[in-house]
Amino acid sequence: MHCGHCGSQLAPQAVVCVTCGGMPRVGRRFCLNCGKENANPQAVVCVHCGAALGGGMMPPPPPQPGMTNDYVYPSTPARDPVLMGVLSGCLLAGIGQIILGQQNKGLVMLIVSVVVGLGSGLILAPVLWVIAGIDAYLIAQKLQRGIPVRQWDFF
Amino acid sequence: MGFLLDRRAIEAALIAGGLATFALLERLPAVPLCVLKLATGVDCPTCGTTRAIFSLMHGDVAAAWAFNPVGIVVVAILLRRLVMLAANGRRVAVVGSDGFGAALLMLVFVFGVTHFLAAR
Repeated sequence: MHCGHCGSQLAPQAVVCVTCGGMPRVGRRFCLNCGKENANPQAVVCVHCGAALGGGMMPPPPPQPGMTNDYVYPSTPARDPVLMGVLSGCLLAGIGQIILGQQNKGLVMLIVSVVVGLGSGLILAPVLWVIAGIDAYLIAQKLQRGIPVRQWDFF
Repeated sequence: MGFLLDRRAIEAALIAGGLATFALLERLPAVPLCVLKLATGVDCPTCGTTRAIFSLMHGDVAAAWAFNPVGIVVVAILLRRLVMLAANGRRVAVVGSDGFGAALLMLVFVFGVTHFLAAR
């Protein structure tokens, strides 16, 4: 099998590409079967070998006993990175992260921004808002590209 | 597939409905809408955004700019999202590019922080 994002050869059971970090079956730029690039983003079959291209959602791997699955997987349709940035950067720090699936991180960011923001007499508040907004934008952009993120991944 | 179409349609309807509501309202509610302003009495970087969007949706760009330029950028971001939802995964030149989106987000931050510092 090849990665749908970068074309690297992978084990058939691979969940995450070791080269680009994306979910192999989500990407449709490269053929999963022959690994060759398909220029047309709307193509549903590979023009080189005729195999169906990726683009489907890979279900999260089943949680193993005693282990927690802390990955956040891309949603369909993907959340808009700019809107997520505005929500976290303008409305409340952490809201964008919570909507994206990083609930724990978003909640902590929300509490920290309120405590630090009010504690500093709102002097630090704009800095926290901008950091939270940029973080939400970049995390949403990774998910939009089909790359799963961990609960506590930043930027 | 129907579910995916529904999610896109719902998001588009919410955005279009929200903007239409601003356009159709004759005046904003007379009650304060911001919890932060009520609790602290402080103008945050986005203070005035609701009034700015209301003014812009009534064609008064100057008033929108005076309330808070962030409102104008937020409307642009929402219109961009509508275009992206209508495109349904197809590439949209310029408006759909990552650079254009990042530039809009940066404008929100620049206008917001400037507004916040000017109000203090």
